[in-house]
Amino acid sequence: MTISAREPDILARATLGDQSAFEELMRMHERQVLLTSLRLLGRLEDAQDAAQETFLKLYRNLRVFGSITEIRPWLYRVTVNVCRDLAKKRGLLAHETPEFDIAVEDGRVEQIGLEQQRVLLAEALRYLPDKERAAIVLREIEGLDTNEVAVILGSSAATVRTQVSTGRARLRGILTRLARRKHGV
Amino acid sequence: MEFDFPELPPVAYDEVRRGVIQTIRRRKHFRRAVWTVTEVAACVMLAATGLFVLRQPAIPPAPVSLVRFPEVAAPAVAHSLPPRHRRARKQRVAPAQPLMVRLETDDPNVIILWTVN
Repeated sequence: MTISAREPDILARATLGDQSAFEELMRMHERQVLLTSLRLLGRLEDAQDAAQETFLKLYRNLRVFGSITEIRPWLYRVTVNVCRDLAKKRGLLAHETPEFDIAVEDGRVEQIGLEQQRVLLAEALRYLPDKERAAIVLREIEGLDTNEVAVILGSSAATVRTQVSTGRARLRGILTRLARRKHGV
Repeated sequence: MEFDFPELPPVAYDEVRRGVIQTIRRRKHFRRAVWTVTEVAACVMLAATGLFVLRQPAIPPAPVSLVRFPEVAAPAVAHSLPPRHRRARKQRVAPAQPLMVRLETDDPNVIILWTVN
């Protein structure tokens, strides 16, 4: 039996209070929720808290879903909102980065290693404004369609395109500055 | 610019799942405890109310009247017909007795009798 054939059954069983079915439902979506949270918040502990809160919301709202395909976009939307609330509550995001420089300095970031780039990127994401960060994470990292991102963020596709474009430019500037400060490139 | 993030270790996902399940169980237990307390409280309230009612002094029975009044049957009322107004009957008056006035005079042998109709 394929997983997709079992999915509606899982949703039905989870809705009726079957805990193992809900666990299975979590397994199906945990990567999406936890990684999105991590990219939005930057720290694994905070991301895990956000993911837990998101899944608890899913548990409380299981009856809302007519089919299992509705869960994925709903989870993205709730994840973004939960992360935003958690970041505000804990003061996680530092927008006071020194001199946001949107100027692109190609070549500098690429000089450092891949692992260092990842660390820098994760850190740089924290300095982006909320909406740009969410747009970048969903569009560029999660690979969602612009229209899907627009629906999740409650804005238009044109706005998402602008946010992604501005976010990328801003991110590159932040990355360059961080790379220069930390690795001297 | 490559958006390439490393995979997370499986333990990170396990922790999330475990946390969610624990929270759900805790909330279920809490809800069950709240229900139990509510049920016990309702039972105690019911028992207390029952005891209070039982301990109230009994109301003395109404005194039995030794005088029996004749039962008067209510006049049957015809519901379908409108009430009929009867003329009041003239009461029969018994014929008046003649009034006799006896006057005595100074002479004991003389008595005046008046008869008034």
